[in-house]
Amino acid sequence: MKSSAPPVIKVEQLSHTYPDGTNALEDVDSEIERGEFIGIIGQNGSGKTTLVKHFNGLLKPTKGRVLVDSVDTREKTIAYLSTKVGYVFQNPDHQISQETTEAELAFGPRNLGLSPTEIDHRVKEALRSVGIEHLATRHPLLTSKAERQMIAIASVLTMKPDVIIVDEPTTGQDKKQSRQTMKMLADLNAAGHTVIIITHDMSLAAEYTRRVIVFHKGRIILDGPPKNVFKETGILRESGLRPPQITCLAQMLQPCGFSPDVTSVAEMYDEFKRVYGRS
Amino acid sequence: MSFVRTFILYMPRDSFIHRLDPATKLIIMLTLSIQALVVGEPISGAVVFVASMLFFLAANLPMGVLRATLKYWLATMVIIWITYTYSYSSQGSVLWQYGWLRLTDYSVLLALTVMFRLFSVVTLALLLYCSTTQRDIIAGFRKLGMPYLLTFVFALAIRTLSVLYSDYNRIREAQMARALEMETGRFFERLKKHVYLMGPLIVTALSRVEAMSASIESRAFKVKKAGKRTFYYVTHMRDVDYVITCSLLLETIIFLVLRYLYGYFTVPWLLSLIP
Amino acid sequence: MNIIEFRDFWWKYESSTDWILRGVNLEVEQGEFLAITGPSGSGKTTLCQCLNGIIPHSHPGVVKGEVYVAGIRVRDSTVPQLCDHVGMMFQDPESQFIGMSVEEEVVFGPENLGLPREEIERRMVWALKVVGMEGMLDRAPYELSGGQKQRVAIASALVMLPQILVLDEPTSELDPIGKSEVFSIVSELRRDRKMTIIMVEHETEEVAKYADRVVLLREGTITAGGPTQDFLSDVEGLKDTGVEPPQVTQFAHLLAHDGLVSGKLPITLEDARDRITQIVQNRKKGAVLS
Repeated sequence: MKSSAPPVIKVEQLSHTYPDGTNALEDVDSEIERGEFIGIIGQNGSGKTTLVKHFNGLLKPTKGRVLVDSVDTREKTIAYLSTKVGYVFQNPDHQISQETTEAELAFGPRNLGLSPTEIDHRVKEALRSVGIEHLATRHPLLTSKAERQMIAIASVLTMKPDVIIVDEPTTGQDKKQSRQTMKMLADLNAAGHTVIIITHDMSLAAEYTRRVIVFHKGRIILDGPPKNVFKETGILRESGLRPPQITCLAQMLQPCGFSPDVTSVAEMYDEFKRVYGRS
Repeated sequence: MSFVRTFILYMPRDSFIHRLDPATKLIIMLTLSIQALVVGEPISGAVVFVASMLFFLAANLPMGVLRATLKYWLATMVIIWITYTYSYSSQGSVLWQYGWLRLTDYSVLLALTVMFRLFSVVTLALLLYCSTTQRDIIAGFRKLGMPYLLTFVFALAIRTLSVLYSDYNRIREAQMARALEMETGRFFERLKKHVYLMGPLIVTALSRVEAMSASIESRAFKVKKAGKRTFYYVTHMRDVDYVITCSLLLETIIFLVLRYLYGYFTVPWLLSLIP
Repeated sequence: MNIIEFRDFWWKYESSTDWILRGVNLEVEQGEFLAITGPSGSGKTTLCQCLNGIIPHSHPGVVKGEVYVAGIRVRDSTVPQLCDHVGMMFQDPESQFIGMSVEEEVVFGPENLGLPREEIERRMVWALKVVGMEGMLDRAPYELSGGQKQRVAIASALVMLPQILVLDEPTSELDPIGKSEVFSIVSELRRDRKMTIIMVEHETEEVAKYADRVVLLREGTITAGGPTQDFLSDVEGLKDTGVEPPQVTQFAHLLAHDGLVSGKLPITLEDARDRITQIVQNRKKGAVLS
């Protein structure tokens, strides 16, 4: 997957120690190419959120450095970096400060000092990509939790960042809403955005992302395509994680000839037909 | 965890003061503070201050704590000096004059008194907060008669403020992530930007309050006193606690009598002592 | 014997025009483990709050119908009275923590009940042991991870020794292994102490293993419900409800379409493994014979 273009995010020997002394990240190295769809998993406190906060400058390294679009994050303000890396927080209620969805979406571009025509254009585009045109004039607080999550993502899109980070896109949502959110993120990824999600939901990570990074105690312990990562049940268990249920099933059925490289229900079905047809 | 985050200043030390019952420490703080605030001339003011410092040192607390607050003391001192020397410039005999600036013996002595008052009260407050856990402070207030509801509200307020402070930071980060410039720029510009944090903060605060109230109700919390609430955490007064408490209370009463009935420890009294 | 009964229960906030709960009819037997599932915003939290009287007593609103908990008519009772029977744990552990240490937090409930100190201490030690937080008595809330806070919240509800334990999305902040732990703790309590468990959950995989019955709440009313096996294997019926059956069940459903699986679909991993192994082996045998 490596192209000749420089990675959109490069992490070099990154360590981060919080003021109270906790070592949140220890000597982390990583590269993220443009157009990737990455899922970051790991226990609470393993360093996932700490890492991604370095990508838009909310945190600065205590050792090592982070390059976003070949620029050292320590040399730029968060406002500048937010045009490259959009961060959608876990709780959309932490952002909503305007009275209509349109105004909410315009918040970012207005802070950037763009012209009213440009702002208007971007707002309309974002409403369309996320599929919430019908909420344009609604007060954001009067929408459902899932709709608010969409508004939050759209309001980050208006900044036109290359990279979109979503922290726990599906917590507190039912499965249908979760899938809607993930499908929207997949569409954004197809349109060219680099998407990074932090999640506890192994099955969604397996199904939608193309690369999974596993954190444990401030270090990356696994990094690769979902198939490869979810095969390592022992390592995952040590970090309090488990592969998706369907992957566990495939692993359990290995004696019958099943391949453990299954990460979704559809794949399992195909695998079953293969095994069954062969018998 | 920083003070701003948790409002806790407790420093565990092995000291005589730390081992005292929290009610005793509250009595020390209250009696000495009353005396500090009521004293009318700087000599006695200095005595109270020295007493406060002795208690502070007896708690093995680092002087760094006082030093950290020093810049605020100095700023307040300057303001005190200016206000007092000016407002009392009509009383007493003039010591020095330059144009309309006038220093009288009254104004100088009062300014010094107020300065010592401030120093004493701050030292005593720090003494209490640094040598007593929050739980103990609340237990101490209760022992002195404060109603449970009040102490509970106080503790809950601290906890809520601490949670809201985390929320404030999260909200700030979320808005900064949408290019709200809060890192550079003039102070007032940045202050104005806080307007965008208020909406989310209020919404979050309201939902926190609702969740907390459901949480305490679900554990049988009653606002009206139903009488039989157990207090799991209790502290016990030892002999030394009784000795200190009684002597301080006695001393304070004597002090107040001398001060108010006989006019001791005031500026006129001090001046009358000088031959 | 029914320990909880909702009889055509309606509820709305006084100032609102929309009813939040519409004609809820529900019966829960003592010792049952009931999972409540449904789309976000359907009224699940509101339903839980009816169980200890927060609704209707702490919020002004309009009530129709009846709720009975442990034989008590909720309308005639008070929240503190109902707390004798119902322990509740809410969604956001951060907002529930009102004390400055784990110990303070866990003893809060029993203190309010006026229990003697020795009893409080006994219960506290037990509750913390059950959730695996013994030795953490002095920890302050800001020192705990999300998972630890949720465990303390469970302990704070347990320590009331309720007959009914209500948990509102207790695993939302937890990683997969943490989720399993919560379910197994709760299931043990049900077994050892005969507690009735009411849990609001989106996670159907764990629900499949432990719950006796599942009900679906949509727009304030219960639209479906039944024994866990029946409920979760109805893949067609659950489409568009926002509830997804476990992955193994979805997979089995595809096979059932092809006629390869008959009877009730498996809802747990072990069950699925056994059934699929059997199917494949039968096929092999068939191939050998022919």
